[in-house]
Amino acid sequence: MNSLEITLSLVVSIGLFLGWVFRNKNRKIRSIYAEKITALNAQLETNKKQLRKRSTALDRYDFLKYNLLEALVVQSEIRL
Amino acid sequence: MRLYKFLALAILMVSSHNLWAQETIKNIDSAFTVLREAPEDTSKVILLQRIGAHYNVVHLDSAKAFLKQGFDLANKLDYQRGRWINLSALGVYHERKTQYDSAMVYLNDALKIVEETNSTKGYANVLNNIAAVQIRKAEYQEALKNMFDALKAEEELGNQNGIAQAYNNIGVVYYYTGNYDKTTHYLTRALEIQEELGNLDGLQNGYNNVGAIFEYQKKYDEAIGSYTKALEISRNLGDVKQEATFLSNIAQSYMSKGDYAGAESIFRESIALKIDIEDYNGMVNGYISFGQLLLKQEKLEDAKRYLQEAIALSKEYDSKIALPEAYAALAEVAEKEGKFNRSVDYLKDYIALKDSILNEDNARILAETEAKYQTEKKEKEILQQRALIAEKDLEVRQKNTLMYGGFGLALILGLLGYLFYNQQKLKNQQLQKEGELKSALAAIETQNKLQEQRLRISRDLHDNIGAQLTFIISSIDNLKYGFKDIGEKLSTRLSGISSFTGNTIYELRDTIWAMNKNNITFEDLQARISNFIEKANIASDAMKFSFTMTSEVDAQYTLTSVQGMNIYRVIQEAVNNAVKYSEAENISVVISEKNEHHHIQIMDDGKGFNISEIGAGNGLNNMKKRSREIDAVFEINSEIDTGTSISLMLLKN
Repeated sequence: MNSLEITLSLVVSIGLFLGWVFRNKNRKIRSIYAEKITALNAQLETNKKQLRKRSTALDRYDFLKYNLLEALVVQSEIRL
Repeated sequence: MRLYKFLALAILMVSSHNLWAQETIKNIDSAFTVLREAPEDTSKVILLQRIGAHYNVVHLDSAKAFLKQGFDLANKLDYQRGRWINLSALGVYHERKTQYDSAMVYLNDALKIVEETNSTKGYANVLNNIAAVQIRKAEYQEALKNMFDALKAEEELGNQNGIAQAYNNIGVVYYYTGNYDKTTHYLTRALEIQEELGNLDGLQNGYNNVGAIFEYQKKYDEAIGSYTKALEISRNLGDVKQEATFLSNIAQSYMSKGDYAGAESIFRESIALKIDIEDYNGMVNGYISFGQLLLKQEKLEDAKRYLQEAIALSKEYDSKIALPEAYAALAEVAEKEGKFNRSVDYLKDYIALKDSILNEDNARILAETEAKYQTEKKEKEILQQRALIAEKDLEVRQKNTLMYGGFGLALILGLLGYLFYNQQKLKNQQLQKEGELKSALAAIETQNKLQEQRLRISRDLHDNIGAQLTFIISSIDNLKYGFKDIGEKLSTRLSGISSFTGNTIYELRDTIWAMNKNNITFEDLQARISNFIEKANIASDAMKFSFTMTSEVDAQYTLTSVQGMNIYRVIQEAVNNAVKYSEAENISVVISEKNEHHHIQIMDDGKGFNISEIGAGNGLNNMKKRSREIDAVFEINSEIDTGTSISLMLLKN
């Protein structure tokens, strides 16, 4: 086995090892990120739901009935 | 009977008197001054040896005492090198004195010491001197073997002077064994080196020996020229022994040329010098050569006398080199005297001696010795070349390894950099997205909280102010019904206040709604207006209500809640007015889009009215006020018996 073959083997081995290490690390990073994003999206969705709920309630206000109190639905889950 | 001609020449070998290139000391007086003041140490041993070696050349009898003294001091100091250099020089002294057995004793002692001390330099020096003695004794096989060993040692040391000496002496051996081609080869190489070195001791021998080659080639004048050069050097060096030898050789050339008179005087001069310095070996050669000259001059008695003297001396001092030539010359003398039996006897002696020196076995052994040397030399060269190739190969491999290693390292670093870069890029992208999401979340949370806050305040407003306004209305109603004797005017006034307060409640509710609802689409507005028109249709059988929103109006166009609410209220007011006062059969509401404006039109086909005669009542004022609030252009057109049209022009955002 000459020096070229040894060097090539070493480079390929180290390259594969580094690739494996970084692949695992990146997977972990992606997994943590996905969890964070899921949590953030869930929070966003909750807020959007709350906005929609308020908007739907306000849409129910009838200019003829003047049913304003029904339209002003307070959401106890929103802490001010 | 000329077979002895060339062999009778005194060709010279070189003894290694010293370890320095110059054998003689230029200023011997200074050397003595140093010697007198020198302490009893190793440097004195070396100085004594140098002085001894100097006298070995210029005055043989003085040499021995210094060399003995040097050897004794070396013994006293237990100085091994000092021992062998003085022993070797003593060997040379005895060789020059034609005392070959004594010479061998000293030289063998010196050889033991150099072998014990592993001194390559000493080994080469002593072997060369031993070989010189062996040549004198015509022991050519042993001499050649030792010469080649000495040559190897000198080559190992890279000592050019020593190499030249070895070549010279090998050439001499070949000369005496009759191999003249090899003689020429080795002597020429020796002379070339000595000329390069400018070594006078070596040069004098070289010139002499080249002269011998010219002699062999029958170029007598060139031979005399070369001998003369050697003679001049020997005279400059004060080397009397060599001077006598070179004179003898010059005489030999003259004799070969046929100049017997010139040859005789030079021979006599040479022999006188040899006798003077007691050079018995030289005397043997001189007598033989002179005897040969006398023979040529037909001086048979004189010739016989010199030749017999030479044989006697040769036997006494074991100097066999020229002995066969003496017998050959005597055989010729006897032949010329007509003593054929004696001549035959001399010839037999000549042949016996010659055979003992130059028989076939000897020639074969000599050839084998050289072949062995040459083979070993070649093998050594091959080994050196192999080592060199291996070294270069290793160097190339190391370079390649370094290059590949560097390239590999660069690749790994590059890969590492790429992987880090990718990881960082991924992290940055994630951070950016996360940041955007967090910002969006913060914004939506803030918006949610603000709206919730606004909504709660709105509820408070509705509950408090609305309740208070309702209380006012009920209080007014109580006043109206509780006091039966109030006048009609007051009653109307109270009803007006109650109605105004009721409207205020509706206004409050609309405002609160508009405050909480950010925007409203045309689609939403359309649904609300349709609902209103439908109820109107149900409430009034005599009138037909219609609502149209043309197709060019974008249903998703967003209005602010205030705009939407005011448009709705204007439509509501206009429709209510038409129902109350127009007596129309058809009331229509149309929303269209013209010239970047939304156009809202409420039309009836009722009795109409004169705008200038009818003052702006509450309803009309309300509509105008609402139009101003939303920056819309309000227009009212009415014709008697044709109908009324109210329009609202709202610029698109």
